[in-house]
Amino acid sequence: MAALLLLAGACTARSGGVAAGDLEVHGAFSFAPPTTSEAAGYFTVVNRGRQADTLLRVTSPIAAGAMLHGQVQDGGMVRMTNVEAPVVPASDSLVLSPGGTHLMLMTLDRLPKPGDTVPVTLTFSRAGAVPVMLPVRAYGDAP
Amino acid sequence: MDTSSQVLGLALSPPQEKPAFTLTDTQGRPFDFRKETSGYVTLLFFGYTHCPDVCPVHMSNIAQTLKNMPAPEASRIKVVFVTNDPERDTAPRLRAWLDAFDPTFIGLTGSNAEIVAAEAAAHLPPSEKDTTAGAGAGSYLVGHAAYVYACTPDNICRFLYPFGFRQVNWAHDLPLLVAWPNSPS
Repeated sequence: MAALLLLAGACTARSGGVAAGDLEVHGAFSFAPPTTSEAAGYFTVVNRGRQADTLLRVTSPIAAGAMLHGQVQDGGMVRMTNVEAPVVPASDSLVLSPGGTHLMLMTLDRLPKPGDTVPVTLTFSRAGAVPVMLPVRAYGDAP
Repeated sequence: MDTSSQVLGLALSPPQEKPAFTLTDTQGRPFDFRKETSGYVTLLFFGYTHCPDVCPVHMSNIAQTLKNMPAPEASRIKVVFVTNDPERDTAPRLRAWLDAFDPTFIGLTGSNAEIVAAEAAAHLPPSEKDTTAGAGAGSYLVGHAAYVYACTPDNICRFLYPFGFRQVNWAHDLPLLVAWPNSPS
């Protein structure tokens, strides 16, 4: 019984996030999109290990595609770039947030509403596949 | 001096006369921006509906603030969203996207040249289509001005609202813009 509880503890990080090996994913959420063509998702990946890991891809069973976009504001302009396989350095983190790097889910098979959750799987080169649930919030300020 | 009543938006220096341009609304009718918004607080934003992050956050924060304001005050504010992606943003798509925030929001489109001219009239940098980013196969992203451009009822544009301007601050500023010029700047 104690061993089972310990195992369960290992999978649930203190902050309500998800732990996988040296990684912890927390602060995940998605905004309820106005249409099913795109939705934005956000999360933070903390690497507590001594080796870097790489986020190879993101998938969701309810979206035809998913990609990460970096975003910079420069001289009043917002410009976006594709972010391919971002590295999460050792003892560092990868932060997705509104106005910054974000996950774009494309062509959703339903319209997520506030209170729903959107399932995604983050696949890392070392930590492997990490399932993460994104609670859906109304569009607005970051929590 | 009561600093709490000061507008928090970034002051345009100098303030600018309201831009003049005519684009097409989501009913297919010509929309003379300066004439149709004359006497109203006017919030102008250039963006596109396939934008998942900056554009809907701005629109939602404004929509929620308007819902929380007394109706007579909210009715003194016009929100105009100009697409800078006229190829993909058809009138029905633009309407459906704006309706998800507030059905009173005005959606405008036009030719690429007309939209760039409207951006220039508002002294905003022209949007940039970037086909190197996106999901491939005709997908692309649009670089665009991050600001909401705000004009007071005297038809002078005085403030810019950058991304990250929070809903609580919109709730602070919009009544001051409606009351202009009786609100200290």
